[in-house]
Amino acid sequence: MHALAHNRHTVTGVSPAALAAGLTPGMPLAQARSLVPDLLTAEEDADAQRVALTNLCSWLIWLSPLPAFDAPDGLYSDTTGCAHLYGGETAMLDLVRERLKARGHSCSVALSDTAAASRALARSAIDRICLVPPGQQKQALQPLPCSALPLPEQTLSRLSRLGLNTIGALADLPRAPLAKRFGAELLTCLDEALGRQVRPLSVFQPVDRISLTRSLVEPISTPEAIATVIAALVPVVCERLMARGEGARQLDFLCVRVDGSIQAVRVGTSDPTADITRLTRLLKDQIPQIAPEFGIETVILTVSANEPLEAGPERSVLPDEAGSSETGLPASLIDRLLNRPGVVSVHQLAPRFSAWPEDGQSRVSPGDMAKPPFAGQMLWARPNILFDLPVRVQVTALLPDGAPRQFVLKRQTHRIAAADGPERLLGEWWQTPESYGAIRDYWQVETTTGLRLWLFRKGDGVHGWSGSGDWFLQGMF
Amino acid sequence: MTTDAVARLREQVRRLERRSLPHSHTDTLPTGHSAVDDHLGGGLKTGSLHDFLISDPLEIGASLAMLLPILKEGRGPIFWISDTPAELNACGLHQSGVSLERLVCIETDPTSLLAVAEDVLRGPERALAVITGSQVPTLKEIRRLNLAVEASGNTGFFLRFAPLARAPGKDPCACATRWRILSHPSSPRFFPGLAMPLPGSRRLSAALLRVRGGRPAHWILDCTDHAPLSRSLDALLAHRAPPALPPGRLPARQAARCARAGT
Repeated sequence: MHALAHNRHTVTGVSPAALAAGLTPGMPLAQARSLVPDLLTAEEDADAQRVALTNLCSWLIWLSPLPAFDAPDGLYSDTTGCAHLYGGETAMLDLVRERLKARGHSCSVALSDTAAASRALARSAIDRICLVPPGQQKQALQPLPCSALPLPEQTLSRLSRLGLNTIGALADLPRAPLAKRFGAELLTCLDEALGRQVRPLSVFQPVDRISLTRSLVEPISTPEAIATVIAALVPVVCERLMARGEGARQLDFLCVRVDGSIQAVRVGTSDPTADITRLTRLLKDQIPQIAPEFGIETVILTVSANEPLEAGPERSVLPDEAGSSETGLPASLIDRLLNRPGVVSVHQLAPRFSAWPEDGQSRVSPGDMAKPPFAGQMLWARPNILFDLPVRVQVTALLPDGAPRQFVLKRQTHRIAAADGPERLLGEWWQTPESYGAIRDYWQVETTTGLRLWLFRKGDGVHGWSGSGDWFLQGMF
Repeated sequence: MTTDAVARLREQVRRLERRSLPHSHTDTLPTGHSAVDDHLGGGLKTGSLHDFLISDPLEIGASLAMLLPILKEGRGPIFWISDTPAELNACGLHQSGVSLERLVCIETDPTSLLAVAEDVLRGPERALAVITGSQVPTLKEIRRLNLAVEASGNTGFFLRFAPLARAPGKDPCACATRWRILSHPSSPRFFPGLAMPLPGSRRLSAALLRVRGGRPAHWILDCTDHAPLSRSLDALLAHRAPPALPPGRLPARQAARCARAGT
């Protein structure tokens, strides 16, 4: 690779074979050609390189969610708290190099406490893995040349003229004369590498996240103004989503206030959508959650989760007179309810097979209902109202295993006029040892006033091992 | 007076009478009991609110026995809005004929129960809403919901506890109908060899306390759909095996099909 710099062609990148032949980056092209007459060269394409680096950076998301650029040919990744996922730091670095090699890159990987130290270590060698234990980057950096630091060419040449060739020599010098001679920039670089000063990484946001930022001319604080901003942003987002054939599953609406704090609002949808009215309404419902205080100066609307729009006929959001939407749940209404403050839960009931009736159903999120697993007509009737915790009642029965004749609930005696039963349920002996041999006898009873209730007795009334013989009220028909 | 002014007056009158709304031709939800449907002109009106008073926590089953067949007839998903976890049983509802795919349970804060209900009822999506809450909604809140259901054509049902002693149900009511449904003893069926008779088909004492533009009434209703014996005859025979019934004298379950009106 070569590029035009200061009116002459300079080598900017070399292959391993060329490196072995004595070519180094920074060498004039004419000199390189004289060393290797049959040198194959190509002109550097800065745009293509940037695109390739961006691709690589979005690929690096697998390692940690915080990748960052080190232009023109490096990448950072903040792997704090990620190493255990790959089996330790050493294994993680091996994996990174292996995967980069598989993509055809030769690389040098370094991990240390600070981004600047890692950068210096990685750039001081090629095709090497360098792992610095916590707090030891000073020792690791000592033998490195000063050129490993991101310093201007001029400063580097002046340093080498003074005989300061390694970072260790530089760090040992008194700071004040250094600052006087080379400016504060050198000391900043040094401090960042040694971890005395923190330099934030500008974290790369993957391109597949649609995000709109609007800086407002004047800070806004009224709900109407926020609604206007939402109404202006949502169509643009929807247009971009439509262009990619995707729909939003989650939107983040961030309001940066004048004092720099951020008010965040997050709405989710139950299916991918790029419908302007639906998203606008969802966001506008959240306006009361935003506290503008002294005013909002910047708003950011980000699609934080998107999915491909389902092909096929559009789901109808408007009510249709023919009533064809009877089977499906209205997605827009479900979304509004799920995002509404004050709603504790929105769910559907799905029956499941279980021995005891109180475990016989599960809550599923709307739309997730599979076909109900009713194998056929259930033999016995089940009540419409079921108590998760059965209520203890005092029952009088003629025989210990016979039908109940009357029961006392809340100091009130109910006489039983008719009863159907018993329906015997056996405990799930394969689940817990307590339910081994456990028996419940269920009775549907009708009291003299016409109440229809579901009573059960623990045990078969004869054997002590099958249950205590206490009676409970579990449901109402 | 010009025709323009007359047209404007007509428009004003129409707006007052709310005939301009798209749902002016109100549908009805049949209750399944012919006597009740005749009295109400086809059943409970859609696009309005209906109030079911429950006098005792144990009596909720009677109101459900009335309400579930109505919900089954209605169009659109059923939203069960409550401020406590709903104690509904999926298997029982399935047996009552309510499709579980259509049923969505919503649990809310006690303070935002009616606001959520209004959100559901205002539409534009088609929905049936059952609102069960502990607090008594005021007239103003119900009128607000009334406007919502009139605009959208959705139907709302209040299921609320109102003990007979404290709230006889005579207070003013902004709902289209107000019901108090109590259980009524059924005629038990005696079988030879059984110590206790089997419960007969379910009987309800349904009191229509208030109805907009109609007379209150009271019925004793037989619901065959909710009889505890709602299983097939062969299953009954296989599991019970009644010993000494002569052929041809098996209990005819169709006999009590027709609703008995009167009293």
